[in-house]
Amino acid sequence: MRFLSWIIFFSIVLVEGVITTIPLTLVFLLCLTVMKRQEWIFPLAFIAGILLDILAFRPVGISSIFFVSYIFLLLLYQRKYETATMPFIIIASFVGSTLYLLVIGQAAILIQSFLCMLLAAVSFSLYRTLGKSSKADGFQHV
Amino acid sequence: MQKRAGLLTVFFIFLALSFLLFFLFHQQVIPLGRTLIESVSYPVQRSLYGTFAGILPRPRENEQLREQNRILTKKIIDQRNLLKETKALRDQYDLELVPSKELLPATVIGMKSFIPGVSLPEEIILDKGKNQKVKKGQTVMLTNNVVGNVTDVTDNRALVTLITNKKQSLTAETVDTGAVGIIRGKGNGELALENVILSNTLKKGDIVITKGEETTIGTGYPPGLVIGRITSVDKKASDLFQSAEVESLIDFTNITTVFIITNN
Repeated sequence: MRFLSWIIFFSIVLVEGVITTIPLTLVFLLCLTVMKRQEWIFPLAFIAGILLDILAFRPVGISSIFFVSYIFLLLLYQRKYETATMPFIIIASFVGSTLYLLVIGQAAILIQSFLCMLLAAVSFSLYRTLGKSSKADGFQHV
Repeated sequence: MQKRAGLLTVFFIFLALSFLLFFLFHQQVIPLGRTLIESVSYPVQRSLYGTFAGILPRPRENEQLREQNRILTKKIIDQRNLLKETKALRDQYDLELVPSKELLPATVIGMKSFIPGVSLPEEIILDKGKNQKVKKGQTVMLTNNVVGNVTDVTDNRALVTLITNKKQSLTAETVDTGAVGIIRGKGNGELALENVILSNTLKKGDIVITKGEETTIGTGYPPGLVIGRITSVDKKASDLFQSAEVESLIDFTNITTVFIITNN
């Protein structure tokens, strides 16, 4: 499962770095942070940011700064709010992607943020469904 | 409380690392790191883009007609240039011919659009860089049509801002009527010819070419490259200037190889 997650992670970074401007990595990091709530996501966000900046010809480090700060805020607010809920995912993905697109200077920010929000909602429900079914089957979810 | 302190520590470590990298790359202290990652990612990036470009639906007939259109337009421009040159030669015997351009073929390895295949890209990434003597400001073309110019370059890659990007503006003229104005990118594949004085004539279907903005070091747009074709004209007697919508003859979503004018 962890190996698969790494493959998915690198595929998402590559697709975002080469083909699309929709912040897919941000969605992936959001779902991962909300579901796992662990600090090892920081190095992952750091690496993702650097790879993305190099692939997309941006100032190296800018995405890492954003991702690391974003994850920190998510982990900080998990004590105050119930983060693993659909309303939180929707709001966090929309606000996060809007700010990220503003920082990296992309066009069509609102449409992309809406798409990002949809993607995050679908990924989150898929992850929850898969998690439930694997638990019901008796598999330990990693 | 302990967990919170741990979270803060990890956060500050990675934030500091990110800022450090940002600073070092900004100051060009560690370009080697970038080159190393680029050399590793390049084959993956190239094959991923190649696969993706292959998946995208290509209207074959449309593409063939566009290609034919580009070639014919090039012939028209060449013919007109030849006429101009002949006239100039008659007038001036000691005419110096413009040195021929050196073209460096480059493969597109990245083309980010908002929704691939639906919205149009604003920038493309090429597989040539400083090692192949690519410099910022050099023009990128395809069959005598302007694609854009190099706006960023690393050792092995170059970022090209397409002519349709909002950041682009250059002087241009029409082939038939000789009207001079400024071509501006409008984003999402659109172009406009602006600031054309009312006494000049703009007509639908006329070809717009670059007026020429070459610098002494060989960068900038050379004269006579095709920008596009006028699709509509906006002329009001009360306005100071008239404008026109221009359509590029290049289908930016389907280009795989382009040429960089290096003038080396």
